[in-house]
Amino acid sequence: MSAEDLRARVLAAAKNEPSPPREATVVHTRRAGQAATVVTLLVFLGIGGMHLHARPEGLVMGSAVGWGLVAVVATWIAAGRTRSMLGLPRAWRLGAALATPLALAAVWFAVSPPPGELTVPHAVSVDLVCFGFALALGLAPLAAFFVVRREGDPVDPVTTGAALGAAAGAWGALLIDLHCEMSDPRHVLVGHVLPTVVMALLGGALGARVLAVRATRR
Amino acid sequence: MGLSFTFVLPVPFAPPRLGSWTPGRDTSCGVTEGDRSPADRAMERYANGDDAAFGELYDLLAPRLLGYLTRQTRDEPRAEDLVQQTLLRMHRARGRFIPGAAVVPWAMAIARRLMIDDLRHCRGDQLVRSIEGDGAAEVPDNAPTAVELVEAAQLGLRIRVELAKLPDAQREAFELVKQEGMSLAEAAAVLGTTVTAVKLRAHRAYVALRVSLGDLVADVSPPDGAAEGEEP
Repeated sequence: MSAEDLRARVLAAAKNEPSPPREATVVHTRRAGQAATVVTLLVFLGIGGMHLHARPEGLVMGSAVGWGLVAVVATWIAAGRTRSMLGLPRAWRLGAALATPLALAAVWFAVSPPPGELTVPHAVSVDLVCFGFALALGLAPLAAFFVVRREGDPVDPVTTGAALGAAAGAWGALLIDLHCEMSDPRHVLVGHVLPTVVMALLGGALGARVLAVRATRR
Repeated sequence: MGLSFTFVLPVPFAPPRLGSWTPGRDTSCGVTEGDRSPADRAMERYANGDDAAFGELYDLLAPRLLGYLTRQTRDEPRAEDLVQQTLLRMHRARGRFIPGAAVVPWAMAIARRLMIDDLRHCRGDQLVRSIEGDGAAEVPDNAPTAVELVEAAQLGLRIRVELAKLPDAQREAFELVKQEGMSLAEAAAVLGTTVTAVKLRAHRAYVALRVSLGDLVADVSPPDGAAEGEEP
């Protein structure tokens, strides 16, 4: 094929396939974010909203602020805009995926009273309920991240997906922590923090499929 | 601290450019609007909705992509198909183009990923692992044939032969830095690795070529210690 033929073929193919310019994409991204926020808040209100009274005020405030910061930082690393179309270096995204659950746990233990004071005997089913709620609260942010970034990582979609999953999980953890009155350390780790790990794994698995750039089969 | 190597080549041979090389060079920082490449500016206009800029973008990127993909695949029809796919991916994602970003590393990363994905389905996972991984020291099956080797009177073919013998990771790093003229940071972003790893891989490729092409080298400055460590 001559160079002119190839040029004509590519330009014709592009012309036949409309693509939104930046302005429309920004609107689309904003709408995805808004939809994820609304869905997440509806889920949050659906499970009962905030319950703050049964726990020490310092613990509630400290964990909310600390976990909020962790979620913001994780989101910035995973999905933030940099000056490169290829995102932050892989080490940053991998670090976000691995460190987000650890940071959540570290913040919680840093702001909580000695563990013995908060230990409450409880059934595993209580942990599992919060585990499920935390996953549900993180799903809408994760979906929004993936919709906005679909087929957008030609280098390392698994790591990017894992980082996005961890960020979404951190938002879910923040909300479930605002909802749940239980301050038992095991419950917090299993019911509130562990879902972040699951979300990171889910994000990595989905990233390989949704974020990856794939060749068209001939 | 920079390394400087000078190969004096008796025969003109545009790619790969074995001229002076400074591994510490990184041109990705401190770039102003005036310093941006024509391709960056064309992509910027295209992202903002100027449909006519796509033709200009094509003219600026397609030859480079086609050269890269043809060298990698040794299959021109396949390379043309991958060029088309690469540019269509960029077309679809134009709204996501970040203001001020460099378009070439993005385009090269897409092209490389599409090529790997295409090879995965055409040739199986073994070759893909070789391309994606640190690379075994095997000569890939796209190396020149015996007939070509016999006929290799020109320096260009000789260099191609030697390049093909390099581990894939080293060859890719070398080609992106030397042939495509990317900064180390850009090549690292395309390959999904660190600047240090790219520097070491390119350095090792350079040293291997220097050894294998020793009879063609007239003046080689000894490298300083910057790139002589082991890759982490």
